[in-house]
Amino acid sequence: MESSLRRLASLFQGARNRKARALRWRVPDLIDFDYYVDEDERLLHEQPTQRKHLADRDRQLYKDQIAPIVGEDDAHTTKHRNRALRRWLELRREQEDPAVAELLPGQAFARAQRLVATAMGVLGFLAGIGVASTLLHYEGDYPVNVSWYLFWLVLLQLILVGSTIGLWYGRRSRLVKGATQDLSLIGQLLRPLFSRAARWIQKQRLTHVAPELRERTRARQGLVQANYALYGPASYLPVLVPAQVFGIGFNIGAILMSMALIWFVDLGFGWGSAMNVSAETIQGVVRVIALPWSWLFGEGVGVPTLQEIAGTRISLKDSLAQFNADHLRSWRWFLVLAVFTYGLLPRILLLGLSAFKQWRALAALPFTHQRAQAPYARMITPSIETRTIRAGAGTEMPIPAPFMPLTRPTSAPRPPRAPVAPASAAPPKADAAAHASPPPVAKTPAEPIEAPVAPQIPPPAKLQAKAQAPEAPTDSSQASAASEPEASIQGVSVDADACILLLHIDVADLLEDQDHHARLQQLLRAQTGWRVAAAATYGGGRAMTEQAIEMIDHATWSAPPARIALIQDGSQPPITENLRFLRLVRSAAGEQAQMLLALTGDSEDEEDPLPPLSEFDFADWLRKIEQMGDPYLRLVMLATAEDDEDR
Amino acid sequence: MDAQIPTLAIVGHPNAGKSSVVATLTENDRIAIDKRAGTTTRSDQYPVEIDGKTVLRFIDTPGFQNPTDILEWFQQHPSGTDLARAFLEAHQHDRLYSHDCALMKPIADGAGIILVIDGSKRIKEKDRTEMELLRLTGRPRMAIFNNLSANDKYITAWQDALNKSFNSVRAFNAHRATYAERIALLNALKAIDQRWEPMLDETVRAFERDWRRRIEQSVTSILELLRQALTFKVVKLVKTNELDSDHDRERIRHHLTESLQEGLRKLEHQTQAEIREHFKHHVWNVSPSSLLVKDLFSDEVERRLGLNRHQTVLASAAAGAATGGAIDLGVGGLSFGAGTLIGAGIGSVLGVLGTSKLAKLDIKRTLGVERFTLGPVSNPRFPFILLDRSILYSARAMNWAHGRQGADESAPNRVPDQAAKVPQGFTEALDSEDHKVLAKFFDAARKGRDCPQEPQVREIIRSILQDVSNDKIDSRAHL
Repeated sequence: MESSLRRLASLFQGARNRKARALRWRVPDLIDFDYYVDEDERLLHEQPTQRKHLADRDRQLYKDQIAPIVGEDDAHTTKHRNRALRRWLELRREQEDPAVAELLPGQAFARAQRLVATAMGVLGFLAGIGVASTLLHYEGDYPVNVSWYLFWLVLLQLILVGSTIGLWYGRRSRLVKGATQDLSLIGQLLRPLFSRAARWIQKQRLTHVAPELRERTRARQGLVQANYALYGPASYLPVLVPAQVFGIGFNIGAILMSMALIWFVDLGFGWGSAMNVSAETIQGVVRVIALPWSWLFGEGVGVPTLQEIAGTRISLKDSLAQFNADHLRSWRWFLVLAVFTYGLLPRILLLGLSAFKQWRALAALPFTHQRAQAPYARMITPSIETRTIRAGAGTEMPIPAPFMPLTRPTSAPRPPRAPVAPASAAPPKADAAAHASPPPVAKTPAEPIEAPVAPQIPPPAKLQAKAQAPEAPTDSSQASAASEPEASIQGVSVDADACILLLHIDVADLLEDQDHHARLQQLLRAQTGWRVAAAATYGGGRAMTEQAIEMIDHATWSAPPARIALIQDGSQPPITENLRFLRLVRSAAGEQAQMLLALTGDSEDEEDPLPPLSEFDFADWLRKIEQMGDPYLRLVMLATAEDDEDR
Repeated sequence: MDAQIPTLAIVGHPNAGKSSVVATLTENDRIAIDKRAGTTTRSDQYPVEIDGKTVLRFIDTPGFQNPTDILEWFQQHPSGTDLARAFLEAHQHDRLYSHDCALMKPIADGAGIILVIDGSKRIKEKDRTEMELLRLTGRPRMAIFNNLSANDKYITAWQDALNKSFNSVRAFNAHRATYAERIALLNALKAIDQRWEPMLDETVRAFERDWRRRIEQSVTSILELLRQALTFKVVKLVKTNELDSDHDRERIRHHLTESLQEGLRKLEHQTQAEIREHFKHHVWNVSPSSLLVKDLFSDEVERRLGLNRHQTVLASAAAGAATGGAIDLGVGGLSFGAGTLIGAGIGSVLGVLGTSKLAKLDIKRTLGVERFTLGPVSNPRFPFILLDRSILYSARAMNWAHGRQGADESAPNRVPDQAAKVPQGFTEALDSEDHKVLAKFFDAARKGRDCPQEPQVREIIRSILQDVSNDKIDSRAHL
């Protein structure tokens, strides 16, 4: 069962493929093609956002239904373009509502073409009857002059056929082009006739469809036009066909009328000349004319004999009664065969030639013009799109919770510890730096702020660590360098007007000389009124953090709560790591310890390592600090733009 | 995650411009970009699909929140293990590491890394930490400089630091990157993992094809604009008995002039919207000083775009079109005054487009009604100006990075646009043969005829746009 179904499916597929292979362009197809291209262009013009929709549609059609039939290897060749666009047109038509498909302009044109061709055939037929009956008019006084019959029905037609062929093959020469351009009967008469007929047919059909469909399809009226300039012979050959049909109808009419008259009327034929033409000469001419059929219908049947020719010479002095009746009838089949051979057959051949030329022209259409490029480009261009796959709702930047329990008494003042010797306040590892910058000394509160304070800033722990591990600050050597807090932190004594300074490593890196330290302290004093009792560095790893926290832990405060100033580069936005450190400091310093976070900008100038921070970056920090909800933590800009100018 | 599909996690610290890089690389200006830090809170994926098949995948990640902890955790764990995966498993339920885990997940899944850094700033501790921890992940990685300011004094230091830990280091400004720079970056991705080469080649080819298609569509839009603009006219019917004086006619002429200009502006705006659509722009901020913001009929636009007078006269004369206008231009408009006096049937648009009128006013009287028609445009310079502006607009659309929405255009030290190399517009720089071809096309378009020169015109515009894309000619970013 399954195998027979498969066979059936493959047969069906084979039939489809054969049909696909058999798909050829016809002129109505060109009209429908232009119609669809126009419709797409209009849509794109009115709604540019539809570009993706059209690209997807055409690419889908191509990948699923066109490429499997026409292949993809020879894309961009004329043959591929021609076949792919033909398939595209067919698929577009298939997507139409069947009722609407009937109203497509191409369909209307095809019907108009049939209508016009039939009308031309009938017209030709009637004309042929008319001309033949006129030429064969016989009242018994004089025989029918075969010369006139041959002139009108054979010679003239031969001339017309000859000129048609001549014009066709000479159409590319400038002379012929110029001569035929304005006088073209086809261009001037037949083409509008087609369009009118097609519009009339569309109108007639529209009156028979449902009202809602009528509204939808009304816009399609008047679109029966192919862009003739783009398709060359393929577009004007179809109007040649009805001309040939007219000719064929004409000849058939003439032949049938001639035969009917021959059959039903006793016609007498003769010839005459004012010249001294002998019957032998006429026989020679007649034999030449009869060459095509004389092998089949020889003398006496299809060709009059010499006697018959001589016996039918019309002389005005002779009455009809003197002629031999058989001789008078002898021309009849010659004439019919002459019209058949020189009138009808060339027309049939021309019709075949027109159809063949049209078929060839349509098959060779390159479709390289701009309008055709658009759907073709949409088909063969792979669609490239960037999608977005959301990973769900993300959480805001994590704000660390306070560390509990707090390790410090909060508000209860503690008696100051015994003053610590200045030398011991400095971490033991800070030898080199400590000598350059004396360690913090508990100054008297009366010391004016303006006093030179530069030497009082202790070198932060980071600087000490750097003395041992200047490179690779994030590796473990740095950690080990700063991992002996118990040795470095002896318990800093912090006076009532002093604080512990925690300096971020990025800022500490820039404080190269005493001027920088002095400026830092000056700015800090301007913000807080605090001197620096001791300093540590942070931001370079866990060991450094622990060292800073140890310093706070072991500090002795003469006027609690604790006072901590942190200096940080604010040009990089705050991250959880920064906030966690603040929580850690809070946990070590106590719930009500005064904490100041002073931000600097990114230093671009070696002369000024503490530039002001931009308002935008400060606002970014402020948002996050507010989210921490720490009422004793104050955020400031260490230097403002005015401070900078004052320098 | 399919190992065959190149997948790249864009990482860095908050506000490094990661989303801008993704937006520019994927031409997606709908990615949320904010100058404030922390806009990206999850790892969104941006797969690039060719015919529905994913060929490349970018993952925009949140910034590092705890880089020091991550590095120390990595350092405490034995090398040889999949550190990214191990870190993820250890911290995935810790709220404090939620952003770090979102960042680390694609890396754990095998994605390559693009570290975005601002090379205009000093190297800081966090930068060193991030470089080192990304090195320890062992994933293929590239670093890109997405400099947010013009300062380049730290670039050498950055290069030295990055070269130690990254397979490739490139400059890529997400706010200024052109099409050529995007393609160059995509090509450079091949260097960080050779297995990706076939897919990336296919992607680059698809991007290039798609770009050619967009240029073609833009050329079509521009040609359509020119055809419509050059056949556009405005008509007003007035009963003869309602016209008492020449003043009334002058009023009508003025009204028609405004309508004509408005109609032409609308046509231009429609085409600009089409061009924006071709290049997938939804967000568009042209500098207020740009000629594109100025009115189409402003003196400045007229002065700086289109052909100069000499070129206009030659082109128009060659095309045999608009001779009157050309003569007007040639004699500096001295004939214009005389022209306007000849009958009421001639009107003009004074003060625009130099000394020559924009369009002719035609008045016909029939059965007690006067029909005033202004247009179509007869000024020979106007189509060149319109074409120039359209090409300028296309050039801006092509080179306007999709990630630029996050740029601070008012920052004093922002990365500058390309320095002006060419003072004039695009059409003025064409040779005289091209001018003649264009003039013939405009002449045919005015008459509503098909023009045999259209393919040549198409080619002229197409080649300008292609050369702008490939940085072969200046994009006139200053105009």
